[in-house]
Amino acid sequence: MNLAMDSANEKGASGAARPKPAAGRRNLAAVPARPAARENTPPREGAPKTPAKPAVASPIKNLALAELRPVTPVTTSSPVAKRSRWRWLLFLVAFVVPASIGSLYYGFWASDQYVAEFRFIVRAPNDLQSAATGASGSSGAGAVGSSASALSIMRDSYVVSEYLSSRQVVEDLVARGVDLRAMFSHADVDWWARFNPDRPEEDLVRYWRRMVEAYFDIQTGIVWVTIHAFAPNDAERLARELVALSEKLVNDMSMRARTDAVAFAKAEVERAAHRVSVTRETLRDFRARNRLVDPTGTAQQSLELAGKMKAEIARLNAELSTLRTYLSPDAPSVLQLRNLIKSLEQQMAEARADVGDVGVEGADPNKLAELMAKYEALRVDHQVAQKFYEFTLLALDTAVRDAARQQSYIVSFVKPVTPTKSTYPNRPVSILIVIASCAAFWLVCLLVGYSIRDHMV
Amino acid sequence: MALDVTLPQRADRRRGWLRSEGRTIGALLLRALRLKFRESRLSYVLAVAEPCLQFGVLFVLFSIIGRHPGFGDSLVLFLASGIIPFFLFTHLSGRIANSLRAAQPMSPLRVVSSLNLAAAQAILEFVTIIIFMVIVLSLLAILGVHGAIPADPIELVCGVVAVGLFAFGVGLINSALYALFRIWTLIYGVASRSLIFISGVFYAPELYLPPAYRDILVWNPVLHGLSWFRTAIYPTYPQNMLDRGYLLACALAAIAAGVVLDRVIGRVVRR
Repeated sequence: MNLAMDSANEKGASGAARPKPAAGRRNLAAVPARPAARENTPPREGAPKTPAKPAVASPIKNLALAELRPVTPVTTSSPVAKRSRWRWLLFLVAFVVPASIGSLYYGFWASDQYVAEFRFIVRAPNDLQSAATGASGSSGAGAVGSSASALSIMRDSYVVSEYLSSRQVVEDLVARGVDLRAMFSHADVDWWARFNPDRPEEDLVRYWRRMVEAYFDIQTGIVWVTIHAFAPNDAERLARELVALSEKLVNDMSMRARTDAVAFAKAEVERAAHRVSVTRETLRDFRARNRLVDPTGTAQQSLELAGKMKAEIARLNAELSTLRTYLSPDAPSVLQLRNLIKSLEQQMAEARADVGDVGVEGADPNKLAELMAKYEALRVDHQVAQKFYEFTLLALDTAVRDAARQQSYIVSFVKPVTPTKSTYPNRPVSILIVIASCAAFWLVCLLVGYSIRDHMV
Repeated sequence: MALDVTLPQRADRRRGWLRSEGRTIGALLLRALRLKFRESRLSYVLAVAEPCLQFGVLFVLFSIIGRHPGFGDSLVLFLASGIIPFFLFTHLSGRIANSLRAAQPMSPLRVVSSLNLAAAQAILEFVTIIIFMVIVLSLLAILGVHGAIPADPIELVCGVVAVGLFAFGVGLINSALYALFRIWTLIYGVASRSLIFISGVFYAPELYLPPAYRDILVWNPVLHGLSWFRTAIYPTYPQNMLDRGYLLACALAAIAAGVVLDRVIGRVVRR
């Protein structure tokens, strides 16, 4: 490439004019001067920094001119042809070839793509409820409720939009009988846009991400989904399947949340019920072992009985002594009375023994108190267990009600329809973009080339 | 320095223009390095410290006013993910013009063109910001900020290069316009400083912009650069506004316009 020729021909004038501004600002040239100085003279010898400035600057001027001059007399066989060759080559490589390939592709070759779209929002029924409570005055609770539900809606929307471009959705679609590989690798689809059906699953997922676009607009809460396919029916079918899958996902998620919450509450109830039955069992065992239903009541009864018997015995004794004043000790009524008193005394002793030590002889008066303390502890345990059980039942009830309220669902307000006209690729615009970017690329290369050439030594 | 600072000889022509260009740019790079802080011996250390300090001040201010991060759980990481690409853009695009102005006395040097001057300056600024980025991110990673190590390093490199290319193109346009109107640096200085508010440095435009404003701001290529960078940092950053092709197209258009302007205006002005 004979670039020097060019610069001599074209830039001779401007090159000669070039040193002019530098002459005016010569004193500023100290820094660029140093490399040049090293070239010509040993660097540090004659050049202490400041005073050398003008002295160093003028060699540069000379150098620049000197480097310029010898370029002129170079001769070649056909300078014009050589000069324009690289430009033509560049024009061809950087503009004509890519632009024509791109234009031909978009103009004639690229297969039509049909775009189906749908939009939906994720709703939760407690939206309305919390809004109502917010409006009715309990603003704090309402705000908290609505922000919590907004958060869950936001999360669900994000989840759906992530899901729609994930590997999972590809597998789910295939599981639902949508043959994605066949759909994207039709024989009449152009080679560039076609999916090679022999490629592994990962490539299919990457390809899928190119064909589907799902994003969640946090300001409006709308999830937008667009699907590209090579046939209008395919696009519509894919869109419908995606709507169904999104619905299923959201339902599964809210179902899961619901069943989780309810299952937890149910487990709690079961635990409480078990505890109640255990405490009841111990209480019953205690009673059975000690042959009593209610030790407190038993003790009282025994004492009352003993007291009554004592009174009775006293009364009978008084009667006996009265009888003894006029009857012989062997008189039948005296004997009868004596027997009665005796058996009463025996029974009283038994009743007393009951109070002192229930069911066991050798009465220990502390035993009943001990027993009662034990009994009280067991009874309180049982009562607590029962209360807890009641509480968990209530919680289960609330959980079931909450779960019913938290069931979020999808409202798709733009339903997928069969596209009737191919809207992608937009051929004129694509061709324009290709041409414009190739032109820009070529321009950059050309002008950079010019700049390099002009400033070649 | 291993770089050879001698002027390319005529013998170089045989060895190719690429080598000659490379040596010229290398020489200009060293010169720019020396020029950057002539007064101080620390020179380049200061050049790196400058954005670090700016970032530090910004972070301190924002944590004092108790601002929440626009995305993720770390304010400092969020600010860093906005500031790094933003500084990359402003430093590159703003300083190329200055460097060309400062290099005017070199115009008699035949090998020095405005393009390789601009390239040298751009490389210097680019490397400075990259060092700044590495310092900030590794510091955050050492301090245990969760997620400071980029989720997708290749994406990070691509994003940084794309922003760099765009900034280089804008810098070329700036230097050409500066040659026409001397007041242009002032105008651009104001414009690039207000750019910080519409590029989403302090907030995540994907999340907190109403659709009406979003439709306008989405035309700002710097915003795409920030989005790209954040996509590389955060694995779950929303990508609904990011259009990589748009940023690259803008970069190409800016470079093309810059090169054309440089040539056209350069001719007019040099007379």
